[in-house]
Amino acid sequence: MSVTLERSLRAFWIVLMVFLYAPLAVVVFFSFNAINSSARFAGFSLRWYERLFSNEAILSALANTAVLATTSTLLGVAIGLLLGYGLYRYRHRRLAWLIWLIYLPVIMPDIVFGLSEMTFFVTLDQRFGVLSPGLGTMVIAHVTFQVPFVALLVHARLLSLDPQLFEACHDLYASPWQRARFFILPVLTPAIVASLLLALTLSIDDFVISFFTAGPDSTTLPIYIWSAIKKGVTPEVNAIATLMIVGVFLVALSSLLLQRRPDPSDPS
Amino acid sequence: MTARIACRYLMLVSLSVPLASVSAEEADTLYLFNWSQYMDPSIIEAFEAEHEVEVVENYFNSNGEMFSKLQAGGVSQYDVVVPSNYYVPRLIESDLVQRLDKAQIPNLDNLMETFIDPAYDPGNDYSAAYQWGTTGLVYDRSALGEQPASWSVLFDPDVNPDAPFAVPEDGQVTLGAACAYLGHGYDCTDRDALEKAARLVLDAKARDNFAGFIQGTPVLQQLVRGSVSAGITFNGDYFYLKEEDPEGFADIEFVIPEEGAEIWVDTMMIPADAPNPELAHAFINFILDAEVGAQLSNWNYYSSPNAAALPLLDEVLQAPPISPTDETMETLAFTPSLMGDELQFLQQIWREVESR
Repeated sequence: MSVTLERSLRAFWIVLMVFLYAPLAVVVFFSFNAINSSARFAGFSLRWYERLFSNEAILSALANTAVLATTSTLLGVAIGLLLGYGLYRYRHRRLAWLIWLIYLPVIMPDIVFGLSEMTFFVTLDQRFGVLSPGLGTMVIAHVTFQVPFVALLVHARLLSLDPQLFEACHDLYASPWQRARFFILPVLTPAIVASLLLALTLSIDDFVISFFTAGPDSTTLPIYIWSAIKKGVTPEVNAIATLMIVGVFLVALSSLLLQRRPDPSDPS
Repeated sequence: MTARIACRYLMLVSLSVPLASVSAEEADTLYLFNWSQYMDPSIIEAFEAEHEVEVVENYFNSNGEMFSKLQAGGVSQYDVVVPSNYYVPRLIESDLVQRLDKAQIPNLDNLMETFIDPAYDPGNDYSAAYQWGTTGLVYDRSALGEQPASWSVLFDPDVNPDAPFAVPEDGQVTLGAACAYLGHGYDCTDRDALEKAARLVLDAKARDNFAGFIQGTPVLQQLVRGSVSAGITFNGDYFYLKEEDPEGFADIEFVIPEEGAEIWVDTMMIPADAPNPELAHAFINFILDAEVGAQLSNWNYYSSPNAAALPLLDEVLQAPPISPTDETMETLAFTPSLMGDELQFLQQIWREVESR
């Protein structure tokens, strides 16, 4: 590789890193501001973190985010797993086109998805008095957009397997239960772990769909931040953002460590 | 077989989640839909203690957002909403709010004269004032020097040839200020006057020192940063942030222009299908209490509509511009509540201004 190319690639890399992390650094920096300003830094203080932890609205938003993310992730991964397997198992029945129905929610803009879910839930609520907007409707909405991602991941992993392995299970007289327990689940573990992390991130990140399906009791962190920035970004919002950055960083780090652990099924 | 059990378990869990959220709503809870940083948390605590209830507060960013949330089911989820005066008739017209039962709100008598029987809600049949304020001119003395209280700081290139300035993207406010500067008053609705005002804003937009459309609250941070030297903002936010950062705001001045400016009031209303209207009435009555009203203004630096609360206000709140002189009050006007054709005309003309 020529020296100039290498140098310009390195420069590009540095620029990329600056654009990725400088804005985050500014957010973290102003979260320690002694005054309520995003314009002037008047000294170091932890007052916004103290206020954060005594603010009931933020704490309940945090709890809602956690409940919503874990519930929807567990449900979404379970359903997506079954769906992905079903798509693979019955792929010969001229049903391959069904996969496009699953791609659709992945491609569709969040705002269209959120609006239609909202209209649907509101109509149900008005007609039959069930499913008034709240954590319940949000879990349903989140599961709905998580399922396609999970199904696609699982489906792709299964497609990459040698189909003869399934026949081998059969030849060795494995019952359906044994086949699932000792073959399918172990080979799908990396896909399942990836799905869990992806679904969790999607749920925590989501603002648009949550915004449309939330009720008064189910404000999540992104919704809270959105409603609090009308008065300009206060250091309190910076403090929440800082904690979220640290949280995401820790999750990313742990998934990295998990992946580096030697794979027991790997013969090497 | 196992799969079937797993399926059933999943169904059970997914059913129990919505059920859980339904049963939680049955406890005595007041749902308040308000602007952010507008309510002293200790007032909420006091109300919770007095009535042994839970208060859940949600926030909105604009009247439009609140309106559409109410239309999308919020009308049966919130007990009290806090719309601005010019949205009050729209809410009444759309049947999204219910009449107040005045027998349950004896503290209504505490309201100042301006807010009893106002034009936006004759007879206070649907609304009770929460807080009010003015939308005025804010500028940086270190960049522009001492200026007379006039919109010319924004609209006259001779007064401000090169210091960067901004106006809000809220068309009614910006066109109103331009109208006032042209001598038609802040509350002009005449098509001719509005068109002239729109041309004036377009001229301002074409100047080199136009910094863009920036809303009333964020513009204050830009003024402190020095990236903008003049803009339009609200009295309460100005004083709230100034109190927090006296050094940064040392040269930043808030004035009510002589040509006229906006007086606005945010009101408390009860959605048509509020889950707990009785508690909503109790809450409105609580806020209209003299001491609570004073505490609220002392916290958010907006003017109190509560005549009985006035003596209990902090000094800064009792002086102009938070409590304008009678003379200034004469020049202030509510933003007209436009409907139908008039509203459409204004929106159209403003889109034109924004996009050109």
